[in-house]
Amino acid sequence: MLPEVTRMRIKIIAKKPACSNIDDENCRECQTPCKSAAKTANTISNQICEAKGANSPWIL
Amino acid sequence: MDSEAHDLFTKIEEGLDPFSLPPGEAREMVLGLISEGIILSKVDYPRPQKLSPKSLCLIVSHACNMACTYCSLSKATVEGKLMSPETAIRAMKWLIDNAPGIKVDVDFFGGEPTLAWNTVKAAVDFSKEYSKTKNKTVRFSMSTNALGLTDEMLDYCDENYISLILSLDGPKAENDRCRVLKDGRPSFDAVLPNIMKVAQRRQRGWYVRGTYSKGTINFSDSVIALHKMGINNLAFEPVVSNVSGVAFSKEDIPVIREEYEKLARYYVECKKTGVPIKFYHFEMDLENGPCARKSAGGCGAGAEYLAVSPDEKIWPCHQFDTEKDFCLGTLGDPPTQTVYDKYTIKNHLTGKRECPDCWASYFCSGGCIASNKLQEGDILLPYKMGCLIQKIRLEAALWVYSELRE
Repeated sequence: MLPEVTRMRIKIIAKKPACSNIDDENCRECQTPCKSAAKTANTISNQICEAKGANSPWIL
Repeated sequence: MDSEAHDLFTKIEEGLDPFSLPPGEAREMVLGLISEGIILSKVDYPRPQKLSPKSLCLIVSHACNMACTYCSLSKATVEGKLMSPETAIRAMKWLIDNAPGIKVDVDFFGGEPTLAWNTVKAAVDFSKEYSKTKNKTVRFSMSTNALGLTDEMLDYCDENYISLILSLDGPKAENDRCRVLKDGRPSFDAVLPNIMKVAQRRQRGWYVRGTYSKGTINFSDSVIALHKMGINNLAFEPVVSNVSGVAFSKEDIPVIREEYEKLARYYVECKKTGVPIKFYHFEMDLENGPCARKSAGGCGAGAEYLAVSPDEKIWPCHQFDTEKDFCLGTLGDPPTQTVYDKYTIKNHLTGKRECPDCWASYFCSGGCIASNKLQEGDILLPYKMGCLIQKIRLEAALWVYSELRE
């Protein structure tokens, strides 16, 4: 089990909102979240900004 | 973090105003963290105002060559319809014409999409040429059980950068519990050679996607076993089901927590010793994560992500296929801004009840609206079991992040 203090710490860290530096309506470089996890019921797997690798021909 | 700091953060979590703290080291530390945006920070999450399709799920086949017991499309697969190449081309033309951005994505889905291979090829060939005339780029993926994945198909997928999402629930015993062929025989031995072919020929553009359920709740063993077989790209999801013996109950939560923690420890050990592994749910970046717009937009279903079924109907996502009340239009009568204003704009973090105050809301964006509908009867009411599992997985991912950072 993770120590309780670590659990607490990561919960606090999680309060930090996502980066808004590229909060550009026209960016749209990322996939829609559900797609990146390919039929996932959640969206956690898409917690990385994909703009930097946007020139790749691969979705994954 | 010592116990004093732990107690302090607990009180702040519970509502203590940090500005009421007496002068001293603790106050300085807390106010410093606030000014750095690490705790208690706020951000505006813009809500898209226009229908802006960007990604399509083309359900090219309602037929399947397998009969997995938990399949969400089981009703539809009874019909067994395949999408015609002409319909797929119309769908791609509509997407490319109406997408406001320069990049669009399409996933070929089913049923089993390889059963409609000519339709897949028609859509890809058309999109490659047509997108050039519109100065857009199309990226492809295909979700397949790999049973009918031939060398010819793999060559075509390589040539056209079609990413592959390969369904496999673990080693033989675990996989074959739910993933069976149409005649009831187990599927593992039939699909594994094709999956390993992909693993061996591709550095990227693929992963194995597993589902775990109550019967295979020790899923960390499955992930680790597959990894040791040479499958380095992995994602495992909890089943969303009401079926007894498959669905999770609250009593399962401690076991699920242990499983994610066990997997997190294995993952960190691999990363620290240079063993290649990618478990999608542990991939995070807290410093340069997704933009605010994306975080709040959630899955994008009905807003920028839509699904098209073989009968040319348009749905908020693939999981609503055949849910008549949720049909947004057809390729002949596509969804309008009015439809968007009335319904799909709700799929946003700020519209989901119970979410805004949750510590994990920035990360899950309110979860999956189809699961919400299936389990809670309302797309905006979070699926409770999904929430619990999501938070456990998120905690493990954050732990991995902090360990690898250090």
